[in-house]
Amino acid sequence: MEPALFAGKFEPLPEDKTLTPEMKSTKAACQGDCAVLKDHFRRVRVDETNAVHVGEVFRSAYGDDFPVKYVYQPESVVQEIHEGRLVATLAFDAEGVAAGYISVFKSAPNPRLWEAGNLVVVPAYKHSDLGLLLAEGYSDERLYPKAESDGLFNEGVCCHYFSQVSAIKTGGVDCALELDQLDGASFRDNRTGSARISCVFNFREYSDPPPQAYLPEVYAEIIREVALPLRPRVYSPSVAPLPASGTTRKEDQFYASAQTWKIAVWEIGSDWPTVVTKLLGEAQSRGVISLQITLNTACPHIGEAVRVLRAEGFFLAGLAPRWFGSDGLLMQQVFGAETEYDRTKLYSKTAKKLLTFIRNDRASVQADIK
Amino acid sequence: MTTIDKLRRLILDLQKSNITAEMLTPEALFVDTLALDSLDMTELMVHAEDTFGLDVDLDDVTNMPTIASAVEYFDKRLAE
Repeated sequence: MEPALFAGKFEPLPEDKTLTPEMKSTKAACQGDCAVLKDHFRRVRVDETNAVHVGEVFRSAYGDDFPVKYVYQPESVVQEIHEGRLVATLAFDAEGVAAGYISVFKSAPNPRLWEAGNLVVVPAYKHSDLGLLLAEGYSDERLYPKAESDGLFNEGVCCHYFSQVSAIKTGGVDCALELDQLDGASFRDNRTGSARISCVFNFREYSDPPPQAYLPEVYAEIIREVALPLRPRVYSPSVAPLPASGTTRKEDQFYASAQTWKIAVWEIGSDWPTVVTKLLGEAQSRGVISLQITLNTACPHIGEAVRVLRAEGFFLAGLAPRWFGSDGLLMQQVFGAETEYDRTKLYSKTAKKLLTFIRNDRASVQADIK
Repeated sequence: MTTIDKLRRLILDLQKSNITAEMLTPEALFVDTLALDSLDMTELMVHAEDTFGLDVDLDDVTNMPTIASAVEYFDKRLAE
């Protein structure tokens, strides 16, 4: 008997002799590991033989507009898989038609982190529980090589509860709230009708963190509280001034369609204030709405770096665990219209507590600037 | 207010244009009768958790096809 790809309540694939003709035709569409879901959906790992169906699924839901374009090209999907950046599964119905898709992929500065995302259900099965069934797959750690991973994160949107609930109910921990990260008009399932959509950063950890990290005093208490459900960490107060020399080392990702710019700062140099000024200028010229800077908590100068950011209007988003191997402290700034807080759906107590803290922090830095 | 009345109220609060109070019989199927999708079911679950003061497993949500089965579930959990 083929081992089931997914554990838990999903039934293992029966021996050939027990398959009905209907199930046999579906099995023919499956290659490699396969598992039976409720209502005779079958979930199989994406490979060369079925990658063409990935584009079919996305096209049915998004047309040609999904921003991650490789999903439309089978060769590119397979390349991502072979190069270790993507693990994906497709759900097929009893007729062997592709019905849904989930994946984990690499997108963070730390190559040992996976992101869970891109759950898609074709319109024909929109009014079924296939979405919930697929979401449970994220908790199956045979989906991706957990042993070689520091963790799995996802950014659950706040225009509905589905992503946040799926993450929490399958063992994830809410760690940060990224305000107004996505464009509301271009988001297919924007149930609140808000102009911008915030996201909750959720994380589950698979290895022990490095032994030493630093926190700025202003955020020490809230970050320790957020990190409590994760593996034990030792955070020391950051008291060091900016270094006397050295260049800030960073990398960035700009999401033009969302007008969101994410910057990861590996090392803080003596040039930090100049770097921040330049980033703000460039953000303005690019028309950035959501600007996020994640600082490496391994840097003893993080406290002073945060002081410089707050003086320029940045406020806390939360913790980005293991973002660099060590944790990241996520800071943010939002330009343009005020956040529609009353249209921000939050599920967990932690997410709601973070929102309260972030609103106060935002008001505080704005008051200090005036 | 009975459990079924609370659930009916929560379903109506979803403000789905296709759902009327008359449709909310115990036999009504969440997916096939009321046309709720996964996002709707999750929202209903969140509000039900708040209303009944319970945590609901995702597995349990997919095993409640009708209003009657949901009533039975919550009554059983509340009695524990």
